[in-house]
Amino acid sequence: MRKVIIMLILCTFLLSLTSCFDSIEMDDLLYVIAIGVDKGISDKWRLTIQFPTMQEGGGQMQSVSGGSSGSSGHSYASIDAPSFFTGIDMLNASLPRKLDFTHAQIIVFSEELAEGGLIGEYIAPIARFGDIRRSSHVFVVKGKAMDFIKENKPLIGTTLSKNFQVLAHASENTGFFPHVTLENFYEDLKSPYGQTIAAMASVNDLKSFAGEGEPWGTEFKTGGSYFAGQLPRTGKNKIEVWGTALFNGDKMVDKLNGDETRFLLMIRGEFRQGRYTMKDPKRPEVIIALDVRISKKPEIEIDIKDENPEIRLKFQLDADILSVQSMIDYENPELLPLLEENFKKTVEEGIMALIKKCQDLNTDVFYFGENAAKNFFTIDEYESYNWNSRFKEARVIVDVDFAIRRTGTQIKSYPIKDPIGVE
Amino acid sequence: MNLILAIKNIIIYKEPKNTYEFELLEDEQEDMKSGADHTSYGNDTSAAQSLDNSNNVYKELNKNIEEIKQEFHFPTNKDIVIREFKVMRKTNACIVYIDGMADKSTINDYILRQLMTDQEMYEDTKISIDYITNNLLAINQITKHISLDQVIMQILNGLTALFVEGCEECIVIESRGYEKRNITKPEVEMVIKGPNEAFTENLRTNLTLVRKIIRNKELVTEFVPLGKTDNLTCAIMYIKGITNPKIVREVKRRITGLDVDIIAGSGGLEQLIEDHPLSLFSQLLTTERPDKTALYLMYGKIAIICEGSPYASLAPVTFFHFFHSPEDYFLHWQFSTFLRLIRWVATSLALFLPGLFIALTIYHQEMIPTELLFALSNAREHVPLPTLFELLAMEITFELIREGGLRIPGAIGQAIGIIGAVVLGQASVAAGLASPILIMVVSIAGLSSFAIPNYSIAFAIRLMRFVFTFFGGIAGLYGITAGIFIFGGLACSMKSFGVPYFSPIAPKTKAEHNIGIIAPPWTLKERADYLNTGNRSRTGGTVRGWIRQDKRGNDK
Repeated sequence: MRKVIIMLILCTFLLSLTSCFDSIEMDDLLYVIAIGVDKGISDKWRLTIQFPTMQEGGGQMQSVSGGSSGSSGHSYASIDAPSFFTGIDMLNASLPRKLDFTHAQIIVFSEELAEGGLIGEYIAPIARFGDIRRSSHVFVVKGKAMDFIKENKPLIGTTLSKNFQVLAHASENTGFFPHVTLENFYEDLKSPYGQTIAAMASVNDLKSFAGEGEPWGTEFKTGGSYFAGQLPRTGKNKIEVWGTALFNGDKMVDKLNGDETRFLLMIRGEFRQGRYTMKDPKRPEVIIALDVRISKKPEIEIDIKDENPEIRLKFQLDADILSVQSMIDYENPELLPLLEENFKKTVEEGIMALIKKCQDLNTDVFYFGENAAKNFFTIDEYESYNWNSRFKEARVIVDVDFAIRRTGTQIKSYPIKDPIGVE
Repeated sequence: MNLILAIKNIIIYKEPKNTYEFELLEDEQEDMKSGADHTSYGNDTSAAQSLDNSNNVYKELNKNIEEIKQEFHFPTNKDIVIREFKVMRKTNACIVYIDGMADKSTINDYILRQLMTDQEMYEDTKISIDYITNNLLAINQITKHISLDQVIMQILNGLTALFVEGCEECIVIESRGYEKRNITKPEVEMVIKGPNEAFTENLRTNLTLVRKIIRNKELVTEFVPLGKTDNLTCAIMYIKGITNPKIVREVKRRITGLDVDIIAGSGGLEQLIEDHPLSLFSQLLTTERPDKTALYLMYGKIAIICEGSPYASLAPVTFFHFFHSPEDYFLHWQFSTFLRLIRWVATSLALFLPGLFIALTIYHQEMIPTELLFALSNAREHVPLPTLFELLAMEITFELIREGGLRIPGAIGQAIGIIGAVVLGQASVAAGLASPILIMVVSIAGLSSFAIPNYSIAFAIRLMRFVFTFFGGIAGLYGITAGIFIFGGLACSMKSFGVPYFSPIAPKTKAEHNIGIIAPPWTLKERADYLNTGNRSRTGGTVRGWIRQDKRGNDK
C-alpha cells in the first residue's frame, strides 16, 4: 500500500512537471497559408501573411449557428519589421493566436526584390525555419507581394489551401508555368549544376481585355506568347500564375512567356501535357490544334572534350489531333508527315531560341550541369570546371522526334459542303 | 528519511525471486512418448485411497444411517432422502440420494423395483454386495466404495448410495438426473456457415459434444476436482500423441494446487491458473463452441471444461488466436483472410484511434491535411473544453451507454443504447460540448471494438484505449510510441502455459500460415511449432490426394 501511494505521488510529480509542455489546441493556432515578402518602407522587411479566419467558409465545416456573412473567410496582415521572426512576433500584437507556418502553401517574393538580387538575403530565414514546409510553392510576383495576397481569394469553393494544392497538377497539365517548391528553389540557388527558376505570378488588372475595338482578323498568335499579368481576360479572379522567372544566382535576370516556359519544362523533363495551336500548313488562315505529350524523358548528352562544350538534346513528343479547321484530310498517311514536320520545326526553333536567350543571360536554368557532371570523376573536378560560366559558349544540337499517334474521334476528315445559292 | 528509503526501495535493482516458471522446451524424444498417465494426480476413484481413510462404511446398517444423517444434518436438511427397505423382502437396506439431483424414475424402476421384488426361486440365496450388483441392479454404471467420505462425495454429485445390512461396502449407483438447459445456439460466437451448437452448463453434455466431433480413441478426458468446498469437477481434454504431455502435466499441477472454497466457473478458474494474472490480456481462450474446441484439440492444445459453465478454456494460446473466428475455417480462405484483415484494422482503430487523434490535434497539427485541419479547427471554435477532456468525456459517455444498455432489460435495452448514442452525440455537438469529428472518432473506436471476436481481448483493448489516449495527451506521438514499447514489451514477455504470447512472431518460430493471412487449407500441413506437439504433421503427405501427380506435365 505504501509503495502504491509513493508511486502515485511520483507519477503526479513526473507528469505535472513535464506533461503537455508542447501541446496546443488546434483552435489556439492561426494557420498561415501564404507568406508574402516585399521590400519594406518603415523597416527592411514587409511581411504579409494570409490566413483563414475560421468564420463562415474559412474551413469546410457547416456552422452550427447559421447565417452567412458573405465574407471570403480569409484575411491578411502586413507588417514592416527588421527580420522575419521579429515580424512574426510583432504581428501577434494584433493577431491574438500563435502563428503556425506548418501549413503555409505559397511563398511570394516581389519582382523588385528578385531583380535587386535580394532573394538570398530574404530566403535565408525562411529556408532555415523548421515550420515552413520545403514543399510550399515559390512565386515571384509582378508588382508587390502584398497586393497579390490581397487579391488572393478563393473563387471556387471556400478554401484557398485547396487552390494551391491543385496548382501542381495545373502545371503538369498545361505547362504554362513551372512547379517550383521551396526545396527546389533554395537548393538550385546553391547548386553548381544550374540556376534556379520560379513561377511568375501576378495580379492582372484586366485592362488587356479590350471591351471594344476591331474584331480579330486572320493573324496567328500561339496563345502562349503573353507574359504574366498580360492575359486578355476578365472575370472575378484577378490573380494568375503564368510563365517563369529566370535567375542568375539570386538575381532575377529575365522572365519567360508561356510558350518559352513549355520549352523550358520540356528540356527539364517536367513537361507532361499541353495543347498547342499551329497554323495549317496548307491553309495558313486557319489552325490545327494538337494535344502534345512527352513520351520519354529527354536524352541529354554533353561533350566537354572541345574548348566549347557541346550539348546534344534529343526528345520524343507524341500528339493527338484535337481539331483540323480546314477539314483537310491530314489523317491520311501521306499528309500526316507534313503536319509532323511543321510542328517539329516549330518546337526545334523555339527550343533553340530559348537556349540562345538563356546563354545570352548566362544562366543554365535547364540543369544541363547535371549531365555535364557525368564527364567528371570527382565533384571537385566538376566544380573547378565551373559549368555555369561555360554554358554560355556551348554548342547546342536539338533533335526532336515528333509523331502524331491518334486522330481523336475522327479517322478521316471530309470537307464541309459549300453553301449553295448563297453569295 | 523514511520516504527516501521507500523511494530507494522502489528504484533499486532486486534479485528476482526464484520462482519456478513453466517453460515448454524442446526435449528428448522419450519424454514425449511417456504419456501423461505416469503421474498420479486426481481421482482414480477406488480402494487405493480409501485404505488410509479411517472413516469406512460400517457393517451395521443403523450405524451407517446414523453417520449419513449426521453428515448431512438430517432432518434439518430437507434435500437428503434416506429410504429404508428390505432387499428381496429379507435383508435390511437403504438408499440415500439428494432430492432433485437424482433421477426419480431410475430409482423407482431400476433400483427399488428390482431390489424389492420377491424372487421366490432364489429364496435361499445369501444376499451380498456381489449378488446385488451381479443379479439385481439393472443399472449401467455401478461402483463399490469402502470410504464413507467418498460415498458422500458421490451422493453430492447426484448418485445414489445403497447400504446393505452386514456389508462393509457401499454400492454407488449412477442415477444423475438433475434439471439442465438444452443445447442452444451460441450467443457470442455466432457464425453464418457452420454448426450452431453451444456448450451448456452440464459437463457430461459438453464432453459429449466434443467427442461427437473427434471420434478418436486417443481423445482423453481426465477429471480433476476443483474447489475445496463446492466439490465441482472439471474435465481436461487432450489428444494423446498430439498434445505435449508436459502441458497436460502442468495444467493438472496448477489445478490440483488450488485451495479455495469456491471457484466461479471457467472464468474464475482461468484467473487462478493463468501465468500472468496481472496482465490485461487473457492467456486462456474461452469459447462456447464445441467445434472450435475440437479444432484446437486437434492442433495440440488442451481444453479445460468446468462443471456448470458453458465454456471451454483452451490453452496454450497466443495473442493471435484471440482474433480468429470459427467462421474463418468454414469460409473460403480468401474471404477469411479479408475478414482477418478487417479485424486487425478494427483492433488498431479501437486501440489507437482516440490516442492518435489527441496526439495529432494537440501536438502535431502539421501532420493533418490542411483542409481537414481547418475543418477540425473550425468545428472546435465553439467548444470550450480542452480536446483531451472533451475526448475523455465522450469516451466515458460511450461506456455509460454501453454498460447502461446492457443492464436495461430486454428489448428496451437496445433501443435505449441507440437512442442514447444518437441523441447524446447530436445534443453534445449542438450544446457546443464536443466537436462532431471527435464524436466520430469515439464512435468508430467503439464500433471497432465490437469487431474483435473474443470478448476478453476486446475488453482488454477497450481499457488499453484509455491508456493510449492518456499517453497521447501527455506526450503526443512520442507518448504513444512509448506506450507501444512498454506494453508491447510486457506482452512479449508473457507466456501462456510455456508458450510465448506472441509466438510465432516473437520469438520467431517456424511460420504457422494461419496468423493474419490464412493460407489455402491444403497447404496447412503442420501443427504449430511452438506447441512442441507429439506429431507435427497433420497429413500423411498430400492433403488433396485426388490431385493427379502428372497434372503439370503433358497429359498424353
